[in-house]
Amino acid sequence: MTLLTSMLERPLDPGYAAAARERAAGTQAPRTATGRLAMLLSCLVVGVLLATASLTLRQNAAQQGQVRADLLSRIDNRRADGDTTAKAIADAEARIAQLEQAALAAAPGTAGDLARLRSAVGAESVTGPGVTVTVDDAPGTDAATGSANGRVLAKDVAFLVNALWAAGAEAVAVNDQRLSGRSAIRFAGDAILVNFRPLARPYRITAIGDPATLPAAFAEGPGGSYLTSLSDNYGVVTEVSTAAKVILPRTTSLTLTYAHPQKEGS
Amino acid sequence: MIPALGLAIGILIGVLVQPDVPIWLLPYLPIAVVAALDAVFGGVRAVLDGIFDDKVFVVSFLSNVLVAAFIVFLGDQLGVGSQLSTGIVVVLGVRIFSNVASIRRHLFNA
Repeated sequence: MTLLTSMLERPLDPGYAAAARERAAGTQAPRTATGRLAMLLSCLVVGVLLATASLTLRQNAAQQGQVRADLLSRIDNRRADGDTTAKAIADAEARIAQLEQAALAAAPGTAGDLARLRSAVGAESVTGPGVTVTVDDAPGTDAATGSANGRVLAKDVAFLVNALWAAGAEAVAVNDQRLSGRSAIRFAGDAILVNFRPLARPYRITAIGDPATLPAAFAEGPGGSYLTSLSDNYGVVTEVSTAAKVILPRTTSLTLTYAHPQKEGS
Repeated sequence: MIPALGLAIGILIGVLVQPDVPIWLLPYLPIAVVAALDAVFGGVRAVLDGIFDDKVFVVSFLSNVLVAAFIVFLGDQLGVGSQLSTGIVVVLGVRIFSNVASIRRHLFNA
Protein backbone atom coordinates (compact mmCIF):
# COMPACT_ATOMS: atom_id res chain seq x y z
CA MET A 1 0.00 0.00 0.00
CA THR A 2 2.83 2.38 0.79
CA LEU A 3 4.22 1.77 -2.66
CA LEU A 4 0.87 2.49 -4.31
CA THR A 5 0.28 5.60 -2.21
CA SER A 6 3.68 7.07 -2.96
CA MET A 7 3.28 6.23 -6.63
CA LEU A 8 -0.13 7.88 -6.83
CA GLU A 9 0.52 10.92 -4.67
CA ARG A 10 4.04 11.86 -5.66
CA PRO A 11 4.52 10.90 -9.27
CA LEU A 12 6.73 13.91 -10.06
CA ASP A 13 10.46 13.33 -9.96
CA PRO A 14 11.71 14.59 -6.63
CA GLY A 15 14.63 15.98 -8.63
CA TYR A 16 12.49 18.88 -9.82
CA ALA A 17 11.65 19.90 -6.26
CA ALA A 18 15.29 19.57 -5.21
CA ALA A 19 16.47 21.67 -8.15
CA ALA A 20 13.86 24.30 -7.32
CA ARG A 21 15.05 24.41 -3.69
CA GLU A 22 18.65 24.79 -4.84
CA ARG A 23 17.65 27.55 -7.20
CA ALA A 24 15.80 29.32 -4.42
CA ALA A 25 18.83 28.99 -2.19
CA GLY A 26 21.03 30.33 -4.99
CA THR A 27 23.44 27.43 -4.80
CA GLN A 28 22.66 26.12 -8.30
CA ALA A 29 25.06 26.42 -11.18
CA PRO A 30 23.84 28.93 -13.79
CA ARG A 31 22.02 27.61 -16.85
CA THR A 32 24.42 26.78 -19.62
CA ALA A 33 24.18 26.38 -23.39
CA THR A 34 25.13 22.71 -22.96
CA GLY A 35 22.11 22.15 -20.77
CA ARG A 36 19.80 23.65 -23.35
CA LEU A 37 21.41 21.61 -26.10
CA ALA A 38 20.95 18.42 -24.08
CA MET A 39 17.33 19.39 -23.56
CA LEU A 40 16.82 20.03 -27.26
CA LEU A 41 18.44 16.69 -28.09
CA SER A 42 16.23 14.84 -25.59
CA CYS A 43 13.11 16.35 -27.06
CA LEU A 44 14.41 15.49 -30.50
CA VAL A 45 14.90 11.89 -29.43
CA VAL A 46 11.39 11.76 -27.94
CA GLY A 47 9.95 13.04 -31.21
CA VAL A 48 11.87 10.54 -33.31
CA LEU A 49 10.84 7.80 -30.89
CA LEU A 50 7.14 8.68 -31.16
CA ALA A 51 7.20 8.94 -34.95
CA THR A 52 9.22 5.72 -35.34
CA ALA A 53 6.99 3.79 -32.97
CA SER A 54 3.78 4.82 -34.69
CA LEU A 55 5.21 4.21 -38.14
CA THR A 56 6.67 0.82 -37.21
CA LEU A 57 3.45 -0.40 -35.64
CA ARG A 58 1.43 0.78 -38.67
CA GLN A 59 3.88 -0.97 -40.99
CA ASN A 60 3.39 -4.20 -39.04
CA ALA A 61 -0.35 -4.06 -39.63
CA ALA A 62 0.22 -3.40 -43.32
CA GLN A 63 2.69 -6.29 -43.51
CA GLN A 64 0.17 -8.65 -41.91
CA GLY A 65 -2.36 -7.70 -44.58
CA GLN A 66 0.27 -8.34 -47.22
CA VAL A 67 1.14 -11.74 -45.76
CA ARG A 68 -2.54 -12.64 -45.79
CA ALA A 69 -2.96 -11.58 -49.40
CA ASP A 70 0.18 -13.50 -50.27
CA LEU A 71 -1.15 -16.68 -48.64
CA LEU A 72 -4.49 -16.26 -50.39
CA SER A 73 -2.84 -15.89 -53.78
CA ARG A 74 -0.70 -18.96 -53.07
CA ILE A 75 -3.84 -20.94 -52.22
CA ASP A 76 -5.42 -19.78 -55.48
CA ASN A 77 -2.30 -20.73 -57.44
CA ARG A 78 -2.15 -24.22 -55.95
CA ARG A 79 -5.85 -24.67 -56.62
CA ALA A 80 -5.37 -23.67 -60.26
CA ASP A 81 -2.41 -26.07 -60.45
CA GLY A 82 -4.60 -28.83 -59.03
CA ASP A 83 -7.35 -28.10 -61.58
CA THR A 84 -4.83 -28.14 -64.44
CA THR A 85 -3.40 -31.44 -63.23
CA ALA A 86 -6.88 -32.96 -62.88
CA LYS A 87 -7.65 -31.93 -66.44
CA ALA A 88 -4.38 -33.46 -67.66
CA ILE A 89 -5.26 -36.69 -65.84
CA ALA A 90 -8.71 -36.75 -67.46
CA ASP A 91 -7.17 -36.17 -70.90
CA ALA A 92 -4.62 -38.93 -70.37
CA GLU A 93 -7.32 -41.32 -69.21
CA ALA A 94 -9.43 -40.53 -72.27
CA ARG A 95 -6.44 -41.43 -74.44
CA ILE A 96 -5.89 -44.61 -72.45
CA ALA A 97 -9.54 -45.55 -73.05
CA GLN A 98 -9.12 -44.89 -76.79
CA LEU A 99 -5.97 -47.01 -76.97
CA GLU A 100 -7.71 -49.76 -74.97
CA GLN A 101 -10.60 -49.75 -77.42
CA ALA A 102 -8.19 -49.99 -80.31
CA ALA A 103 -6.31 -52.86 -78.68
CA LEU A 104 -9.52 -54.65 -77.74
CA ALA A 105 -10.87 -54.50 -81.26
CA ALA A 106 -8.48 -57.37 -82.05
CA ALA A 107 -9.95 -59.60 -79.31
CA PRO A 108 -13.77 -59.50 -79.44
CA GLY A 109 -15.57 -60.25 -76.18
CA THR A 110 -12.95 -58.81 -73.86
CA ALA A 111 -14.36 -55.27 -74.29
CA GLY A 112 -17.51 -56.22 -72.38
CA ASP A 113 -15.48 -57.89 -69.63
CA LEU A 114 -13.34 -54.79 -69.23
CA ALA A 115 -16.33 -52.44 -69.02
CA ARG A 116 -17.97 -54.70 -66.42
CA LEU A 117 -14.83 -54.91 -64.30
CA ARG A 118 -14.24 -51.15 -64.51
CA SER A 119 -17.81 -50.49 -63.36
CA ALA A 120 -17.46 -52.99 -60.53
CA VAL A 121 -14.30 -51.43 -59.07
CA GLY A 122 -15.58 -47.89 -59.52
CA ALA A 123 -13.47 -46.77 -62.44
CA GLU A 124 -16.57 -45.99 -64.52
CA SER A 125 -19.69 -44.10 -63.61
CA VAL A 126 -22.68 -46.41 -63.30
CA THR A 127 -26.43 -45.99 -63.39
CA GLY A 128 -29.33 -48.09 -62.25
CA PRO A 129 -32.20 -48.32 -59.77
CA GLY A 130 -31.13 -47.13 -56.38
CA VAL A 131 -31.76 -46.17 -52.78
CA THR A 132 -30.72 -42.83 -51.30
CA VAL A 133 -30.24 -42.55 -47.55
CA THR A 134 -29.97 -38.93 -46.44
CA VAL A 135 -28.76 -38.06 -42.96
CA ASP A 136 -28.24 -34.53 -41.61
CA ASP A 137 -27.23 -32.98 -38.31
CA ALA A 138 -30.06 -32.46 -35.84
CA PRO A 139 -31.66 -28.99 -36.00
CA GLY A 140 -29.88 -26.62 -33.63
CA THR A 141 -26.54 -28.39 -33.92
CA ASP A 142 -23.94 -25.70 -34.28
CA ALA A 143 -20.16 -25.83 -34.19
CA ALA A 144 -20.10 -22.42 -32.48
CA THR A 145 -22.37 -23.34 -29.57
CA GLY A 146 -20.66 -26.68 -29.05
CA SER A 147 -23.86 -28.76 -28.93
CA ALA A 148 -22.35 -31.63 -30.87
CA ASN A 149 -24.77 -34.32 -29.71
CA GLY A 150 -26.90 -34.30 -32.85
CA ARG A 151 -23.93 -34.24 -35.22
CA VAL A 152 -23.59 -36.96 -37.85
CA LEU A 153 -20.27 -38.74 -37.36
CA ALA A 154 -18.05 -40.56 -39.82
CA LYS A 155 -18.85 -43.72 -37.89
CA ASP A 156 -22.58 -43.28 -38.65
CA VAL A 157 -21.90 -42.87 -42.37
CA ALA A 158 -19.57 -45.89 -42.37
CA PHE A 159 -22.19 -48.01 -40.57
CA LEU A 160 -24.93 -47.05 -43.03
CA VAL A 161 -22.63 -47.77 -46.00
CA ASN A 162 -21.82 -51.19 -44.55
CA ALA A 163 -25.52 -51.88 -44.05
CA LEU A 164 -26.18 -50.98 -47.70
CA TRP A 165 -23.41 -53.35 -48.89
CA ALA A 166 -24.85 -56.03 -46.64
CA ALA A 167 -28.32 -55.44 -48.10
CA GLY A 168 -26.99 -56.19 -51.56
CA ALA A 169 -25.82 -52.85 -52.95
CA GLU A 170 -23.56 -53.15 -55.97
CA ALA A 171 -22.18 -49.62 -56.02
CA VAL A 172 -22.26 -46.94 -53.31
CA ALA A 173 -21.41 -43.24 -53.33
CA VAL A 174 -21.51 -40.68 -50.51
CA ASN A 175 -22.25 -37.15 -51.73
CA ASP A 176 -21.09 -38.19 -55.22
CA GLN A 177 -17.85 -39.67 -53.89
CA ARG A 178 -17.93 -43.19 -55.31
CA LEU A 179 -16.64 -45.83 -52.94
CA SER A 180 -13.96 -48.12 -54.30
CA GLY A 181 -11.54 -50.61 -52.84
CA ARG A 182 -9.35 -47.71 -51.80
CA SER A 183 -12.00 -45.54 -50.14
CA ALA A 184 -11.95 -44.70 -46.47
CA ILE A 185 -14.72 -42.98 -44.50
CA ARG A 186 -13.13 -41.05 -41.70
CA PHE A 187 -13.24 -37.68 -40.02
CA ALA A 188 -10.78 -34.84 -39.70
CA GLY A 189 -11.84 -32.32 -37.10
CA ASP A 190 -15.55 -31.77 -37.68
CA ALA A 191 -15.55 -32.77 -41.35
CA ILE A 192 -16.31 -36.23 -42.70
CA LEU A 193 -13.82 -37.29 -45.38
CA VAL A 194 -14.56 -39.78 -48.12
CA ASN A 195 -11.82 -40.44 -50.69
CA PHE A 196 -9.89 -37.73 -48.78
CA ARG A 197 -12.47 -35.14 -49.86
CA PRO A 198 -14.36 -33.28 -47.12
CA LEU A 199 -18.12 -33.60 -47.42
CA ALA A 200 -20.73 -30.91 -46.79
CA ARG A 201 -23.96 -31.76 -45.01
CA PRO A 202 -26.45 -33.19 -45.64
CA TYR A 203 -24.87 -36.59 -46.33
CA ARG A 204 -26.52 -38.47 -49.20
CA ILE A 205 -25.55 -42.13 -49.39
CA THR A 206 -26.67 -43.50 -52.74
CA ALA A 207 -26.57 -47.20 -53.56
CA ILE A 208 -27.49 -49.15 -56.68
CA GLY A 209 -29.01 -52.58 -56.21
CA ASP A 210 -31.97 -54.82 -56.88
CA PRO A 211 -35.02 -52.52 -56.55
CA ALA A 212 -37.12 -55.42 -55.29
CA THR A 213 -34.90 -56.45 -52.39
CA LEU A 214 -32.39 -53.68 -51.59
CA PRO A 215 -34.77 -51.14 -49.92
CA ALA A 216 -36.51 -53.80 -47.88
CA ALA A 217 -33.31 -55.58 -46.86
CA PHE A 218 -31.80 -52.26 -45.76
CA ALA A 219 -34.89 -51.16 -43.81
CA GLU A 220 -35.23 -54.50 -42.01
CA GLY A 221 -31.54 -55.01 -41.39
CA PRO A 222 -29.16 -53.20 -39.04
CA GLY A 223 -29.23 -50.08 -41.25
CA GLY A 224 -32.92 -49.39 -40.67
CA SER A 225 -32.74 -49.81 -36.90
CA TYR A 226 -29.56 -47.68 -36.82
CA LEU A 227 -31.39 -44.87 -38.64
CA THR A 228 -34.30 -45.11 -36.20
CA SER A 229 -32.02 -44.94 -33.18
CA LEU A 230 -30.13 -41.98 -34.69
CA SER A 231 -33.30 -39.97 -35.14
CA ASP A 232 -34.90 -41.08 -31.85
CA ASN A 233 -31.88 -40.58 -29.60
CA TYR A 234 -30.03 -37.69 -31.23
CA GLY A 235 -32.63 -35.96 -33.38
CA VAL A 236 -30.61 -36.62 -36.54
CA VAL A 237 -32.67 -35.90 -39.65
CA THR A 238 -32.94 -39.09 -41.73
CA GLU A 239 -34.68 -39.90 -44.97
CA VAL A 240 -34.71 -42.99 -47.20
CA SER A 241 -35.95 -42.72 -50.78
CA THR A 242 -35.85 -44.99 -53.80
CA ALA A 243 -35.42 -43.96 -57.40
CA ALA A 244 -35.76 -45.86 -60.64
CA LYS A 245 -32.52 -44.38 -61.92
CA VAL A 246 -29.58 -42.91 -60.07
CA ILE A 247 -26.17 -42.08 -61.48
CA LEU A 248 -23.01 -42.76 -59.47
CA PRO A 249 -19.85 -41.05 -60.73
CA ARG A 250 -16.50 -42.77 -61.12
CA THR A 251 -14.14 -42.75 -58.17
CA THR A 252 -11.29 -40.28 -57.95
CA SER A 253 -8.22 -42.44 -57.60
CA LEU A 254 -7.54 -46.10 -58.24
CA THR A 255 -3.81 -45.80 -58.84
CA LEU A 256 -1.83 -48.66 -57.34
CA THR A 257 1.80 -47.91 -56.59
CA TYR A 258 2.97 -50.90 -54.57
CA ALA A 259 0.38 -53.58 -55.32
CA HIS A 260 0.99 -55.51 -58.58
CA PRO A 261 -1.24 -58.14 -60.13
CA GLN A 262 -0.07 -61.64 -59.32
CA LYS A 263 0.01 -63.83 -62.44
CA GLU A 264 -1.98 -67.03 -62.28
CA GLY A 265 0.17 -69.98 -61.48
CA SER A 266 3.15 -67.96 -60.30
CA MET B 1 9.79 26.85 -26.57
CA ILE B 2 12.96 24.83 -27.08
CA PRO B 3 11.31 21.53 -26.03
CA ALA B 4 8.31 22.04 -28.32
CA LEU B 5 10.64 22.90 -31.19
CA GLY B 6 12.77 19.83 -30.51
CA LEU B 7 9.69 17.61 -30.33
CA ALA B 8 8.31 18.93 -33.63
CA ILE B 9 11.66 18.59 -35.42
CA GLY B 10 12.09 15.11 -33.97
CA ILE B 11 8.68 13.95 -35.22
CA LEU B 12 9.45 15.49 -38.62
CA ILE B 13 12.80 13.65 -38.79
CA GLY B 14 11.15 10.39 -37.75
CA VAL B 15 8.43 10.73 -40.41
CA LEU B 16 10.83 11.80 -43.16
CA VAL B 17 13.69 9.38 -42.46
CA GLN B 18 11.48 6.44 -41.41
CA PRO B 19 14.33 4.59 -39.67
CA ASP B 20 14.23 0.82 -39.88
CA VAL B 21 13.89 -0.66 -36.41
CA PRO B 22 15.90 -3.88 -36.11
CA ILE B 23 13.90 -6.90 -34.98
CA TRP B 24 15.77 -7.28 -31.69
CA LEU B 25 14.89 -3.69 -30.77
CA LEU B 26 11.15 -4.07 -31.42
CA PRO B 27 10.16 -5.29 -27.91
CA TYR B 28 11.84 -2.24 -26.40
CA LEU B 29 10.09 0.30 -28.62
CA PRO B 30 6.72 0.49 -26.83
CA ILE B 31 8.44 0.53 -23.44
CA ALA B 32 10.77 3.34 -24.57
CA VAL B 33 7.79 5.32 -25.85
CA VAL B 34 5.91 4.96 -22.55
CA ALA B 35 9.03 5.91 -20.58
CA ALA B 36 9.62 8.94 -22.80
CA LEU B 37 5.97 9.99 -22.41
CA ASP B 38 6.34 9.73 -18.63
CA ALA B 39 9.37 12.04 -18.73
CA VAL B 40 7.57 14.47 -21.05
CA PHE B 41 4.44 14.70 -18.90
CA GLY B 42 6.60 15.03 -15.79
CA GLY B 43 8.41 17.93 -17.48
CA VAL B 44 5.17 19.63 -18.51
CA ARG B 45 3.85 19.33 -14.98
CA ALA B 46 7.09 20.77 -13.62
CA VAL B 47 6.79 23.71 -16.03
CA LEU B 48 3.26 24.40 -14.79
CA ASP B 49 4.39 24.01 -11.19
CA GLY B 50 7.09 26.52 -11.98
CA ILE B 51 9.92 24.25 -10.92
CA PHE B 52 11.10 22.99 -14.32
CA ASP B 53 14.79 22.25 -14.64
CA ASP B 54 16.33 21.16 -17.93
CA LYS B 55 19.07 19.07 -16.32
CA VAL B 56 16.54 17.13 -14.25
CA PHE B 57 14.40 16.64 -17.35
CA VAL B 58 17.27 15.28 -19.46
CA VAL B 59 18.47 12.98 -16.69
CA SER B 60 14.96 11.71 -15.89
CA PHE B 61 14.27 11.05 -19.57
CA LEU B 62 17.49 9.14 -20.14
CA SER B 63 17.25 7.15 -16.92
CA ASN B 64 13.58 6.31 -17.54
CA VAL B 65 14.25 4.94 -21.00
CA LEU B 66 17.42 3.10 -20.00
CA VAL B 67 16.00 1.54 -16.85
CA ALA B 68 12.80 0.49 -18.63
CA ALA B 69 14.80 -1.06 -21.48
CA PHE B 70 17.13 -2.77 -19.00
CA ILE B 71 14.23 -4.27 -17.05
CA VAL B 72 12.66 -5.60 -20.25
CA PHE B 73 16.05 -6.99 -21.34
CA LEU B 74 16.48 -8.68 -17.96
CA GLY B 75 12.94 -10.06 -18.20
CA ASP B 76 13.67 -11.46 -21.67
CA GLN B 77 16.77 -13.18 -20.35
CA LEU B 78 14.80 -14.65 -17.42
CA GLY B 79 11.84 -15.64 -19.59
CA VAL B 80 9.38 -13.21 -18.00
CA GLY B 81 9.84 -10.36 -20.51
CA SER B 82 6.14 -9.86 -21.23
CA GLN B 83 5.22 -9.78 -17.52
CA LEU B 84 7.90 -7.21 -16.73
CA SER B 85 6.83 -5.15 -19.77
CA THR B 86 3.29 -5.16 -18.38
CA GLY B 87 4.61 -4.11 -14.97
CA ILE B 88 6.52 -1.19 -16.48
CA VAL B 89 3.51 -0.07 -18.50
CA VAL B 90 1.34 -0.19 -15.36
CA VAL B 91 3.79 1.79 -13.20
CA LEU B 92 4.57 4.41 -15.84
CA GLY B 93 0.91 4.53 -16.88
CA VAL B 94 -0.15 5.38 -13.32
CA ARG B 95 2.52 8.09 -13.19
CA ILE B 96 1.42 9.52 -16.54
CA PHE B 97 -2.20 9.62 -15.41
CA SER B 98 -1.52 11.41 -12.16
CA ASN B 99 0.82 13.86 -13.92
CA VAL B 100 -1.89 14.55 -16.49
CA ALA B 101 -4.41 15.00 -13.66
CA SER B 102 -2.11 17.60 -12.11
CA ILE B 103 -1.60 19.35 -15.47
CA ARG B 104 -5.38 19.40 -15.94
CA ARG B 105 -5.80 21.01 -12.53
CA HIS B 106 -3.33 23.71 -13.55
CA LEU B 107 -4.83 24.39 -16.96
CA PHE B 108 -8.55 24.12 -16.35
CA ASN B 109 -8.78 24.48 -12.57
CA ALA B 110 -10.79 21.27 -12.62
